[in-house]
Amino acid sequence: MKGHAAIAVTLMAALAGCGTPESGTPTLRAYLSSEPASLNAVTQGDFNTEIIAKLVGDTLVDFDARLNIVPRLADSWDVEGDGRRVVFHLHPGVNWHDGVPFTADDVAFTLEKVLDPASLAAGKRPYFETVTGWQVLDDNTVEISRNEPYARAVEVWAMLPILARHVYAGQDFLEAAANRSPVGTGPYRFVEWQAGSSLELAANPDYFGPRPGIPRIIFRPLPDPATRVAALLAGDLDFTSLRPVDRERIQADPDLSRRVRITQVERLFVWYIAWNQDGSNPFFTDPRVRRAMTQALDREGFVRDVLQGAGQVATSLVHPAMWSFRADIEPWPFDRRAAAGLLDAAGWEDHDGDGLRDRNGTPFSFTLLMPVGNQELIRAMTLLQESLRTLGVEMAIHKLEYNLYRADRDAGRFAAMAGGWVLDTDPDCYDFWHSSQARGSGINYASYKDAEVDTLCAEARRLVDRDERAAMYGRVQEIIHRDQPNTFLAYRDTLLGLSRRLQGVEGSPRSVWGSYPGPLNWRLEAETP
Amino acid sequence: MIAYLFRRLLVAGSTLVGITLVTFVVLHLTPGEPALGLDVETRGPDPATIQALRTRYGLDRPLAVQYLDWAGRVARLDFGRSMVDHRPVRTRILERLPRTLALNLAALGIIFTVAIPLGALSAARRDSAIDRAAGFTLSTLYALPSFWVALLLQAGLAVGLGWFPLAGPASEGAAAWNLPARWLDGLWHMALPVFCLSYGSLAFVARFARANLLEALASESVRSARSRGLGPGRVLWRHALGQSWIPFLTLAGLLLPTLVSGSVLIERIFAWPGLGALLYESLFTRDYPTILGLTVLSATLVVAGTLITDILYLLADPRLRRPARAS
Amino acid sequence: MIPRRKMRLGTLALMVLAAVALGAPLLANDRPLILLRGEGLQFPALGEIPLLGRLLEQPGWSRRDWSLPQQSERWRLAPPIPYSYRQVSLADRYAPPSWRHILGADALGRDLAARVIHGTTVSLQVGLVSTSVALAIGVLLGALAGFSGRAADFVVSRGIEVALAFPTFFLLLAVLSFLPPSVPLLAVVIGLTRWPSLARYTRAEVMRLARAPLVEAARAAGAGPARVLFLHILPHSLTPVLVAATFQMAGAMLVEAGLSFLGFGVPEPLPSWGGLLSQAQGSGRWWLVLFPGLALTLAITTIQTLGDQYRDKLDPRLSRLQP
Repeated sequence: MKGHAAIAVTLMAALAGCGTPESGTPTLRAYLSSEPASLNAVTQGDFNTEIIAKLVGDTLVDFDARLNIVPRLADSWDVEGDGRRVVFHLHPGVNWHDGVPFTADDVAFTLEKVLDPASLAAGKRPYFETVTGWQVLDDNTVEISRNEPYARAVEVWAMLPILARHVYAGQDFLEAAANRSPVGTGPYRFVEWQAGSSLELAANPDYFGPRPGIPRIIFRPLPDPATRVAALLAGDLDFTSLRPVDRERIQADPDLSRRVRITQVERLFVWYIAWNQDGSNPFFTDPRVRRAMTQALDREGFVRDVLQGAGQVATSLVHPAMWSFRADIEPWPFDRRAAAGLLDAAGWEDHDGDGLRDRNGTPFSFTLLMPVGNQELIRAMTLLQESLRTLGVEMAIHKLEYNLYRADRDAGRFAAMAGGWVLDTDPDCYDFWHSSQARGSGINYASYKDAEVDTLCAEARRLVDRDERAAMYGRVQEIIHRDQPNTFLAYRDTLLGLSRRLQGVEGSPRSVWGSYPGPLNWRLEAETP
Repeated sequence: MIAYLFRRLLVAGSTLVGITLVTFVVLHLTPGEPALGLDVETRGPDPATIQALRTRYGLDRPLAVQYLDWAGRVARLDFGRSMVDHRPVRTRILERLPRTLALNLAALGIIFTVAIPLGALSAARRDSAIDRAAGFTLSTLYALPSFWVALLLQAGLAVGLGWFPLAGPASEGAAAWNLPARWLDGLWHMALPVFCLSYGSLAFVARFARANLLEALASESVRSARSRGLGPGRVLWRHALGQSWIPFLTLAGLLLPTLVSGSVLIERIFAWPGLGALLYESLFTRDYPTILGLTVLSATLVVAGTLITDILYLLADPRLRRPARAS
Repeated sequence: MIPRRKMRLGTLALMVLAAVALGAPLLANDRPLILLRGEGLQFPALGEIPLLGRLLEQPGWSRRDWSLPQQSERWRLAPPIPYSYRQVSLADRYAPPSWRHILGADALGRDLAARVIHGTTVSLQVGLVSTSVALAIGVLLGALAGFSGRAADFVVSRGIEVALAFPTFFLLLAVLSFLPPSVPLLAVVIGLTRWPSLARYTRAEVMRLARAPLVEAARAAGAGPARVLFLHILPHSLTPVLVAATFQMAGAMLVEAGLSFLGFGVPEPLPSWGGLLSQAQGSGRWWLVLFPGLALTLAITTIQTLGDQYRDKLDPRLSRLQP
């Protein structure tokens, strides 16, 4: 099958007059879903930057595959005053890849940069906004203080790869050369980035932590999911996420299943629809109407048939993999008759006999906003649209490109809005459900308001004790289930397709790359002829 | 003639200004904020960060000031810095230009070398089996959406048979090879995307050639050449082609800008780092400097295309030098 | 000479296409063609016919679940394909072609035959509307530039250059950010991005013909500029323009297909052939790829063949030429 390619490559290598120098080094062939704009994870918040930044750099702490917080650059930490004060004890004797010793001052530098609006650290800043001061106690100890208690005071450091002060000295932070050829302390050293073509990393022999099992990684930007799957099947890629149809196809073909191993991994991700309750539409301020919407959508069918079981019906923004998840809350079942009853009860009946429900002369007709480009979400919305049609409710679907979608979403300019959300590891719900975070000021896109939820969300984030918090977040999940401010479609699992030679991959709910030591335990087995 | 050239150049310059002005205004009037490298499935940027970005890139100044400032710098060939990766726009474009040029030059080369002889043949053998077969094949090819053909080719020729690389501009480790090997490797990687870029236009150019040649064949001079007993080949190549080169020039002028306008679909599917994908991404991230830089590039080629065509027309047909209004 | 048989075949194919496009609701629908109820006869499927359907449509029809027996129903005559293009049925997900679904079903169990048939309406609409827009603007401006003197030529030529250099995809984004998406809007926007080449061809041809002896003679005979333009120049200059226009029509359908692939096609749940093809991506189901592809290819080939024939007929000089 691959014979011709091999011949062609050999031919070229012969022409080149030499083999590739590193051809003997086992190399992981990985992908980036788009080429990162920068490898500086402080200014650049996207997923691809983060992958590289956390291989070349280190965070103070990290998550293991079970979402427990584990030490990384920090060996240990002391938390006082419910997170008001955190002292990190750093691993001694760590050097930057250029040989300069890593110190607590580099942590201070990174924090300075996150808090400076000029760094454009939009993805990180919200988690550090309450930081009021930091103090380098000695080379290996740094103290961070906040002006209020914060349950996540330690774990937010898992998203912040530490940058070297000396590397950025005298340069514009956004334009510095190190953003494209980073110097870190991490398990991999940056080797080369050929724009548009490849990005190469090599294992750091002096790494202070676990030894990386794979000596060399080559990332290629592959923006098209179909191309990635084809690359995996062609043996040009060692792993990629699959769509449910890809899994079906591979499992149906014995030749393909010999080449590719498939695993299903939970992922902190949920598909949802937010129903705008700010009063700009007459429909969704009534919880009965929102529940009718939920029950009109065949979520079980969506998970079973469209996702092919790669997920489960969701109840809230708390994922089953999180410690705060309330497993006893049963999602509302798909029940069109119940939905019709709820709509009738809310006064939405077909008074004028045109087939469309109405109340006070307003027909039940609304537009749902969603981002382009996701087949799964479009299919779910089509299911809902068709179910609502025969229930006497008209729903138009307005697909927008990401930028416009985000602008409308963030400003609350919609009646209904569908999207996906990457969940945080912590159940902190203040930003999602607190009434102060509604309409443009936060991410309570649905403008949901409930006094009890307000209190619970505001209180629980100020506590450190897990049991106390779990009880409070359990109650929040109960109320959210009752009120249905959002309809949660499904927690979407990841389907991973792996080449046979790649071993030791343990998925994490944060992402394949998103656990520690995670990727350092991967290894490549010699290919069996 | 010199005065004419000077005037045309002046016009070309002002056209460029017009194009950039229109693009600039439409761009800034379209809603959406410069994206700050955040995934859409997470929270959007906070107001302080947006303000910092606006200050850094001067977006809070009046539009007219922004345009004049930008135009002034472009006149010195400084296209500013990208709002996405903060690198000079010129660097970003130059990084991708060679790959885009390679792809499009190859595609245009194939289109012309295949389509014009084919069109000529069809014209010469009008309504023959060859004419019909060529017409049918080409129009069927044209009717196939390129993204669809691209994915089929990937599945068949790259994954299935392994004859061609699946995607990307070069093999792993090719950077270390010597020049001929790198070139060969590049050509090998270009094969599928070039095919996808060219097969659709074959039909168009072949038909264009056929139509114009048929017309030329029907003209007085060709008929007289024919009546003088010249062979059909000679009539076709010398007289008919010679007569219909003005429409071909128009076509070439129109196609000139396609040299730098990549195809988003093909570049995406074959992971080809070209200018099409850059423009597409820049539009979504509202990276104004990069969008405008790319617009200047394509506008220059558009204007140059017209300019060159007009000048050649002039040389070809001195009568055109007279004012069009001959009352 | 043009073979008569081929001519009729092309025309016939176009008429079939047009008939399918207009009669789609009668060919594939969950509404019955004829419904006999206690109170008399009804024709629900007719209510969805473009334009005329408005007269027959009754309130509530569009929201009814027609697959269930209707109130006091006695008898019904279903269309040949008894599914609408939007009706989902997860149980039939990816059903292969069978008697139940003659062309198979898609990821949501929607009948592919119904979607391909209704896709005819959408795709032809996109092609026709966008080409009309492009042709109207292109020919008008091109003729103006080629005929009305230097000032007009100057303005139009600069306009063409601006339009050519403007990132066309951005026009779509900009328009869609202000207006709700619909098939006509999409078609008009595609048309707006495709007029410059038509204008250039027209301009070049008009300029060439304005010098032709025939035209000079007409002018000398005292014909006014409008008469010269519309009677003597435009008809002759349409040769390459029409060839280009048939390509524009086909091209517009392909543009829509590409936009669908990127997610910017016609709004849900309307099907277009290109949209069907892009939805089939990665499904590994041959029927989802084959049938919409076949429909698209056949339609585009038909349009092009007709364009050729039209050109041959229009240009009397060519008819005189004996091969």
